[in-house]
Amino acid sequence: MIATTEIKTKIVPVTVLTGYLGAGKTTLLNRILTHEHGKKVAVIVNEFGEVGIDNQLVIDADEEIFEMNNGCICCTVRGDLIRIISNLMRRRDKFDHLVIETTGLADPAPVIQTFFVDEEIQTQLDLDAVVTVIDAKHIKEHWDSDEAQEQIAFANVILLNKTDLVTSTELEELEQKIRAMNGMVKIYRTQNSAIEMDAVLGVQAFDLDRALEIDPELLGEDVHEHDESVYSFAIVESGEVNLEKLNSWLTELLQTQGVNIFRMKGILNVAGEDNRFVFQGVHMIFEGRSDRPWQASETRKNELVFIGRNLNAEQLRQAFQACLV
Amino acid sequence: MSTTSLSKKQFKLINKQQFSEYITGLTWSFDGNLAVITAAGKLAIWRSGKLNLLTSPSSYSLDCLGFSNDGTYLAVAGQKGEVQIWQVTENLNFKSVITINNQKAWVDSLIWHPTENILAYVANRQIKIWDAKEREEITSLDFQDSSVFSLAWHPDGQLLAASGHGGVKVWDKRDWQQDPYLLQVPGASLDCAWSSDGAYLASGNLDRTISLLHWHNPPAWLMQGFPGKVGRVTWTQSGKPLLAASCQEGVSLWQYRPNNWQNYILKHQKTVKAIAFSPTDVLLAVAGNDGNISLWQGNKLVKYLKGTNSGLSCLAWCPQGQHLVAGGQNGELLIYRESVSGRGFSNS
Repeated sequence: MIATTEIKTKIVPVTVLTGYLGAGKTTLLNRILTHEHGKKVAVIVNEFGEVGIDNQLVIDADEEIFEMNNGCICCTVRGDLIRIISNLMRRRDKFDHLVIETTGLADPAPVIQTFFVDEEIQTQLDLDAVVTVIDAKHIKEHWDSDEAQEQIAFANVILLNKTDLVTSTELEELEQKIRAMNGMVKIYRTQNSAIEMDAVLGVQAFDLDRALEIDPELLGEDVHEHDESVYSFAIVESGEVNLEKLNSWLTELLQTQGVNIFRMKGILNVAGEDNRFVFQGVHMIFEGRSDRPWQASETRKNELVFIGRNLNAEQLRQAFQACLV
Repeated sequence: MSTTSLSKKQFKLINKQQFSEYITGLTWSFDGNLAVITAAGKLAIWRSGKLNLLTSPSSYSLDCLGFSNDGTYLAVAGQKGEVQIWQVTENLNFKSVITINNQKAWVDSLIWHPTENILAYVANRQIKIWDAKEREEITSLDFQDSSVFSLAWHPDGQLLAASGHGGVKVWDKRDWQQDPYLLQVPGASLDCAWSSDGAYLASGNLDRTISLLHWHNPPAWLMQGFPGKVGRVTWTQSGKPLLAASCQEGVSLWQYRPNNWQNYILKHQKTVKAIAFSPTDVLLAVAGNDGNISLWQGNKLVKYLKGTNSGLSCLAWCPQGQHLVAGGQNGELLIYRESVSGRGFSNS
């Protein structure tokens, strides 16, 4: 299950835009297109938004969910993306950036998993970030829906949009609620999806080389209060991990609870290794490898973050502790 | 045919052309017309060293093409959603006869019936069956579960197979309305192919497997253990069925020996983009990102043709087998002709 990923020469960055219809996705998309002026931006849309998109390469596709089961990985991917992207990649002048806008009712997981599973796509494109636009006023109507929860849980960047329509107390509560669900996300408060493009482009959120950025608040707390079935938590342990034990635990964990584990990420101190071991996962897909050496000034420790639905944090913590030497 | 005799085959580069964009498809008519399409929407005909451009460049890629069996019609289609039908006139000119519009659907798969002038092509989830003589649609088949990735007519022309999510669906031409037979595969089928004797149906699958069905004799075999998706499957065009399947940098060859399928892996330097058996023997041409063409007989590399530095995208043998053409990712068109040294061959 633990695969060592190769160093890839990636070319085209991919931004995934999620959020409910009317939240401000298309406004953000138009900002990206204006910002990327002069570059070739391909946009795959699954629903035509409320505002026209001024771009030469807009591809309207039906969302096609493919189930895959090859023994060790069960997951869903987006068949339409596999077909469209492999066709697009043939052009010599290709495109400089790909934006995938999902429908308001889409689970982002199949889109993300497509970029992990399809090696042809994986070697040519670089999933940069999942950006979710949230309507600060209307999100409460969708709070219980699976789609809203998944779009928050899978986001690397959240635009808490239309902040002018709610009070600052409401905003604060909303942000707290989002952080409890996703302890790894960067939240920006916006109006009319106005945001510095550096915050949404070039994020490299799925790049294992980037240091894992985990909300210190999440790491600090032993027991996390949560009132949603989707929430995130961290495991922080000193000590050394027995890689063999960890491997068999993770294999079993992904087989049995992969459906509920939306995302996980971590840095591990593996017994007998001078380098940090870094990993990330999306549902049952897992990739991990040896990273830079631990520095003398650093305290060696293990940090794992999980985002999922109905996960038993205490049980997972104990199971991880059992993998320590 | 022995390895020794095949290894004596020589292939000489007889013509080279340069297009502005990635060559997306190549095909020969039985009477020597080579049609070439590119990602810049160009369609050209090469014949005896001369290149004739039929369409001007566009921002829409052309993605699939095919000559009807009698060589009268040429169909091309792509991102624009149009299927263009060309007719070959008596003085060997090409005349555009009709353009079928499919709105926003990218048409990336089409195939002519093996004996009649009937075209099958894909528009998203629909498979359109179109009669070239009457110039009208015969029927539209709904794959339902997904868009269709690939089509294959059975050699006897009665059955049409289509790849998509869930497997390969097989319709019977005698009654299009009848529910299709489903060769169920885990995940999705990306490519399908019938053996030349019509006995076997193979499917290359997204979930890193090959499904192989002895027609009328289920269950299908499932070949596992591939490192990635199996994007292409193709059979020898004559003789004993031999299946080639490409996956990443490898091609696996499958042959039915008493009681079981045996296989060889043919390793290449970089990702394989195209595989094609010679129409007359078991010689398998393989091309891909390394830019060269390897010719294999079984698991033996018998020839290595230097191509381009920038990678090849497609291959096609002419129906008589004496010409092999390769298309490049940077628009190169390379045409090779077989010349034979030694005994046992007449120079065609």
